[in-house]
Amino acid sequence: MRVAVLSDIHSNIEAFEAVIHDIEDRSDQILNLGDLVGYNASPNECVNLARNIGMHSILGNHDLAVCNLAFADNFNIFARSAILWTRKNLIHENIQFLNDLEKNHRLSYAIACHGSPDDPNSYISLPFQARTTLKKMKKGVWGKLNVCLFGHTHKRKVWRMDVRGKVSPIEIPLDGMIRLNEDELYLLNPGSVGQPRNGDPRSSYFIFDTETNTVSFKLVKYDVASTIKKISEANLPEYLAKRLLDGT
Amino acid sequence: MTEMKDLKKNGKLKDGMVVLLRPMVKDDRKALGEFFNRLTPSVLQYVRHDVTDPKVLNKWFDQLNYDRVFPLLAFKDNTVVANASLHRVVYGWRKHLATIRIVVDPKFHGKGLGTLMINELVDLAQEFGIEKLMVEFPLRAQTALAMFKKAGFSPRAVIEGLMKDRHGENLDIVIMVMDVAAFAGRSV
Repeated sequence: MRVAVLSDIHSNIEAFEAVIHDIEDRSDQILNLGDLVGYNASPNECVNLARNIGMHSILGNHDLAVCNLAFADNFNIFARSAILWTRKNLIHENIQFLNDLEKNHRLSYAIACHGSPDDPNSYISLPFQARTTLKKMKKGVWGKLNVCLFGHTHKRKVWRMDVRGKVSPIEIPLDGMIRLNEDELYLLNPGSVGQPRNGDPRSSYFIFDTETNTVSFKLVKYDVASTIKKISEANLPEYLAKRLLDGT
Repeated sequence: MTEMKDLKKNGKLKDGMVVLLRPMVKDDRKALGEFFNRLTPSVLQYVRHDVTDPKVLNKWFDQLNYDRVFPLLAFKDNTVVANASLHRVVYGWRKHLATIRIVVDPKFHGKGLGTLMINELVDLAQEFGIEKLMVEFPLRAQTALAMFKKAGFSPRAVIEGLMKDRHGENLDIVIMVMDVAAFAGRSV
């Protein structure tokens, strides 16, 4: 099976549509690792598209905060401002859609989550954080699996635990293709569709082929200017628009 | 676009008191001046600039640039009770690093206000793509040491006798550092 794995769309419909167009018929399933909304100005358009194409989504921390404002109490002032705007503008049935999303999704070959399988709010950015999750995978905490799909950091990343138990990041090659070894455990982050933070403004996702055991990272250009215009018209903070230009 | 002054949130202190946090804007010149003028020389001696000099504050407000310095204020009943800032270098080998400076009204010491402000700056640092935060202050400021440790900083170096206090006595300086990704969004 070929699964297109997306994450952190964040109400950016231009980026979302560009990625869906890029996927075309290259996948059998589309999986979203959370945060359909927040930050940008097209929440209803993004939720509607996700529902229309039957994309399987899991719950992100911004989705959760839109459903229950108490979870936004500790968001920073920029993220919180966008949550308040999204709550005002998202129609009820789309809030309900987000509210019904599950925290983790167990697939036959992997577990999918937003931040980590333990918590949609926690980050896997540093080696000790990767080691914590990989050790739990090794112990079989979430059943027998060797892949965890995660998002939240908005950065493309691959972490590997080899047969000795050593944890290290794998550099993503220029062609984006990584072959997974069945003896090893992996944490795979597709980066962000709607607010990339790898220093490249293009949307990021990957195709995971469970038969060939390969992951192909993709970068997709989209109409950033239109997204920025919408952020401006929505009176969201200027910083949220500026950052899209350089992917930070 | 949403103005900086509208990017505000409430924070609750240990005693239940609620304070308002928001970025500093040009209209805050008078309130910040009054805040610094209330502080005693023993508090002000560790502030990097002579903030009782109106020219210094005028320069801060004239050159307000959030990409370089992101200043955050805490208000209680429209009065500034703390000032914290994130100082960045937007290019080069220190691009991933920012330093924190913070001054809290002594009446609010021990209430968790400093920790609240630092946590907000840590979350903002994560948002800005900053990887490491650094702070330096006199080693003998044990309350500050405890506050920064609680926020996730760890002491990495002590430089003996580097600074002098207002009486001319040598001060040891501690440098504390944190990995932002390890602590940002802990409760988000």
